[in-house]
Formats: sequence, structure tokens, C-alpha cells
Amino acid sequence: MAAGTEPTPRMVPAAAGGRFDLLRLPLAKRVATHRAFQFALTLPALFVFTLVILTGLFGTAVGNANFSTIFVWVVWWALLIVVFIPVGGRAWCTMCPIPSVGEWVQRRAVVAASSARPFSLGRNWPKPFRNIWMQNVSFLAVAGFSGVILTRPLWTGALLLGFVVLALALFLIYRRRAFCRFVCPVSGFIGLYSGVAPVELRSKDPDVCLRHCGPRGKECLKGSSRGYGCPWYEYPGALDRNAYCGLCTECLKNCPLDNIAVNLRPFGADLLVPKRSLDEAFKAFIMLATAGIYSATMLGPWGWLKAWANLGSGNPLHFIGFVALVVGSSLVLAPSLLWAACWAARTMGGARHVPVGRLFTSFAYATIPLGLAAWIAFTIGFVFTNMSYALPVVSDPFGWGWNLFGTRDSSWTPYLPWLVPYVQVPVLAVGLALSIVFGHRIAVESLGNARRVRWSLLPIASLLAAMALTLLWLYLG
Amino acid sequence: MRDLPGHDAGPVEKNRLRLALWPHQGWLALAGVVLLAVLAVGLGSRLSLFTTEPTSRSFTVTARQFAYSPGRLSVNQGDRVAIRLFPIDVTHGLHLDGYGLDTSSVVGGLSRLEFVADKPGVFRFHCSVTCGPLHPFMIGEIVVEPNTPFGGAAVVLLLVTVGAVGWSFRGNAYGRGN
Repeated sequence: MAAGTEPTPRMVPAAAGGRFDLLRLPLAKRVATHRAFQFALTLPALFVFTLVILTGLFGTAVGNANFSTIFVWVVWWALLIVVFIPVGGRAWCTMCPIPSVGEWVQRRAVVAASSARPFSLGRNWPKPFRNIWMQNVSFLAVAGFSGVILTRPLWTGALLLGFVVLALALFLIYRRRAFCRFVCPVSGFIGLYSGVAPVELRSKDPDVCLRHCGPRGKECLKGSSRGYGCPWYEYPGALDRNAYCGLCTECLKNCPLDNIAVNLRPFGADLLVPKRSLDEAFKAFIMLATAGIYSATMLGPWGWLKAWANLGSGNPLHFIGFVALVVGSSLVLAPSLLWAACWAARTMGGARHVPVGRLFTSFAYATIPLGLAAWIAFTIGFVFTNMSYALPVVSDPFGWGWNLFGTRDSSWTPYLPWLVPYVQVPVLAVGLALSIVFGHRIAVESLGNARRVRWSLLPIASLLAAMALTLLWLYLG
Repeated sequence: MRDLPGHDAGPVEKNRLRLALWPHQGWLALAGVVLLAVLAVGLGSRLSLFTTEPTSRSFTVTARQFAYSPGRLSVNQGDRVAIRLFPIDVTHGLHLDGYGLDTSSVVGGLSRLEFVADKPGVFRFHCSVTCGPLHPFMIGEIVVEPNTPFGGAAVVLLLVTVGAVGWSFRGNAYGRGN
């Protein structure tokens, strides 16, 4: 279309129901479009992260007296699961310090938009791995070793340092944020659950993006003097899900037409976007299953399970058994149960012409709200009990006897243990309700016919209820 | 209205998006779910159902890295409970949630907690003396029967299931008869 002509009339999306563009607020727009915005968020996170690595590697081996284990697996984890993801989607990725050093090296700049050739081989990420299977594997690897990683400062420090080194190496080999997009175990589930969040970054008018093409267009993708092309391998003009938008705001800085919005929106809107894939479906299973495994291992009374996870039973086969339990429940048990429910849904709904595999992939997304609720409930279960360890480690991060802020001698005390069930049960109930409602929406999309939808929902809802009751039994039973 | 991939937006799609994107009744329904869940836990925690005659119960709990044995104790509401803590490898503690009781003992020693289990439900006890890497996760449980908080919460989840299914059936997004 020639420049200056009017667009062909079509159904141009105005702000879809319930959207409010935060960038209408002048201060918000000024802050978000400033080049130093992301750096200002990343810098304090990098400082804390550096302290985590140093205390992990050189501090006391006593986990609850070391800054690394307490601030990563209690404080940061709680903030991530309870606040960042449900409220801000991928907001943590905006400020994550792990890729920051590598990105600065690649860009040869920290804040400014450098036009220098990237310090990288600039390879394209291999096509067979352009999915989140590698993130699924990396998460399962961390989950399998969680009994030692979460409790030994040395393992925590070494793991995080390893992530930094790996991220740096990938920045030097591949274009843009390959580590974040395809490898990081945390990024995988943040992306999956970010679809629930009430925040999104989208183009205001896709037609504007369509017209803004050619050699001088698509600055959001290619970069410009104002900013870098999308580091997450996304084309912001066509973004319709949060899953792979890291909220870095480079596109905001780049767009010459002010066509990018950061919207407040209804919860869970992404779950209805009909983009479904098997790798994401299995991520949903992995997260739901590991929430249950972690709840049983970390919060349960079964000492043998903790010994197996902790490499502490003296028999290496026990640890292999624990890993098998994690992998088996994530990749075999949970998917098998959903497959059976999908087969029953298809049969009861009289929709035998619909492939079970298609239903399987689609209905996996219905478990996302319950999975996030399970992780919130699990996190609440141990955070309230262990948050008091944060006070002494702030004053004595290495466990060397310092007393920087006078809180070193604060004794352990569980905070508000009576409140825990009052949070866990409503969270599980809301997660279950949303999963069933979204399951219905997915059934409508997959089957269409009202009668088929009604009958097919019953086995899916039953499975979701059984999962929720199992989790409830782990917490209150 | 944003075009969905592969679809031309029209009245059916507008209806679908409108239904999908949180009608006000949805918020009210979720608030009701939260309230119901809180009430179930609260009422369940305060019920006094002495289904059996209260009696005295005594337990010797062995503590070693990182588990208690037995890890799960079961008593009836109203029972007078005595727990004797017996560490066998390093010094361990026992802090009982819900009753605010705490004790600790050195290896070979024996300390004691006594209380009346007047509140139903599951109460965790934690090691209160740093004993090793998994110390924060050294947990046991006392189940005070009848476990009415769990029962009430389970009923709520079942009601939520029925309610969510009913809510979903109240309006077909593609119009009736399609």
C-alpha cells in the first residue's frame, strides 16, 4: 500500500473489552520509554544476585543461615510466584540479572542503543530447538535435584553462576536472548503462567504495523537508533500472547508511530488465544505434577521422601527413584490422566471424529490456572514458616558473625501459621473454578456443538477436581 | 475488536470475546468462591465435635535428620496429648503450629510437651533448632480428628466444581442450538 493512502476498511480492533493502556498516563509513558528504564530495574537485582552467588560460594554451609538459599528460595521465589507472575506476567524477566551481563557484552553497551556490530557470532538458534522442550528438560533437571539445590548454599550459588556463564556463552554464539527464550528453566513456566496475568504488551492497531513495512519499517523487529530489535525473537506487531514477550520495552522505544500499548486487561485472556503446542502442554503437566511432588516432599511428614530427594539415604538408587518420581509424574502420570479424560470427553460428547491428540493439547491449557494456584498454595505453605530466616541473613549474609543491621540474633518464628489454610484453600478453589471455566471455553472452541460441549466437560472437570482435592489433602488432610 | 488469527470478527466472535473476558458476574462469583472457602476453613477450625470421649494420649517422637518418627500423629478432639521428643543424632526441636508450643532436646535427652487438642484439623510441627541442610523442611503432623477444616474445604471444592460447570452451561458462547 502506498504511503499516505487510507487503509482498506476492515474490522480494526479498537481496545478489546476491558483493556486500559497504561501508557496513556504521561509519567508511565515517560518512564517506560526511557532508555535507562530496564537498567534501573536490573541494577538492584544484579547487586542482590551478586551477593547471592558470593554468599552461596563462600558463606556458611548452613542453609537457613546463608543469604543465598533464603533470599532465592524463600524471598525471591515467593515474590515471583505470588506477585510477579499473577500480577505482572513476565515482569521478572524485565529485571532478571542472569542475562544482563551477557546482553551488555553482546551489545557492547549497557544503557545506550549502540549501533556497533554485536559482539557475537550471531548464529541463528537451531530450528529443532525453537520451542520450549529444552526449558522443560532444564526445569525437570533442577526439580530432580531440588532437595540439594534448595538446601545447600554452595549448590545454589554454583547453579546461578552456571546460568550466568551459560547465558553469556549463548549471547556470544547466538543472536539476541537465546538463553531466556529457549533454555532458562524459569522462563519456561513464567511464560506459560504469564497468560493469566492482567498485563499485556500489544500493538494498538495491527493495520498500522502492516502498513509500516519495507526497508525502513519494522523497527521493533530490526532495531533502530532508538533501541534494539526484539531480543525475544518476537514481532511485537503481531503479539497476541504474553508467553514470549519479556517486557523489555525495546519495541516501545523503537516504534516511530507510537503504536505499542501496555494494557491492563482481564485475567487469563491469553488462555483463549488458539495457539497451542505440545511443548507448552507438557510444561503445564510438569508444573502441576511438580507442585504436588514438592508439596509432599517439602511440606509433608514423609521422612523417606525427603531422604531420597536429599541424597541422604545412603543408597543412590533412592535418589534415582526420586528423580523417576518427578519425571514420571510429570511426563507420564499427569499426561496419561488427561489423555484418558480427553478420550472420555470425546466419547461422552459424541465427537469421535475429533482427534484425541488435539483435545489433549488443548485441554492441557485448562490446567494452567489450577497449576498456578497449586504453586501459590505450596509457596504460601513454606514461606510463612521460613520468612523469619530473612532477618538474620540480611545482617549476616555469609554467616560469618557480622551484624550489619542489628538483626543477626533474630530467632526463627513461623509467621501467622493459622493464616496459611485461609489462603491456600481459597487459592485452590479459585484456580479450580477458573480451570473449569476455561476448560469449557476450550471445549466450545474444539467441539462447537452445545450438547457435545456439555457432556465432554464432565470428565475434564472431574479430573481437575480430583487434582485439586489431592492437593488439598496434601495441605489440610 | 481485535481479530483472532484465522477468523473474521463478527457478532458471534464479539459475543465469544465478551463472554470470555470477565463479565461482572464472574468477579462476583469468584468473590463468592473465596468467601465460601474462607468460611469453610474458619467454621471447620472452630467446630467442637467430641465424637469420642476425650482421653489421654502419649507419644514418643524420635527425631533424626530430617524426619520425625512417627511423622504423623492422630488424636481425637479434646484429648490430652503428651509428646516426648527424643533426638537420636543431633539436637532437635519441636515447634507445634496452632498451639504455639516449643521444646528442644539434646541427643539422648527427652523433653516433653503437653496440651489439650481442642482445635480440629492438621497441625504441623517443625524442628526449631538448626540441625542440617533440610532443617526448614523437617516436619511432622498432628491430625486432630474429626478433621473438619479438610472436610469443609473438600465440600467447597466439590461445590465449586458443580458451580463452575453450571456457570459454564448457563450460556453457550456460540449461541443456543449451534
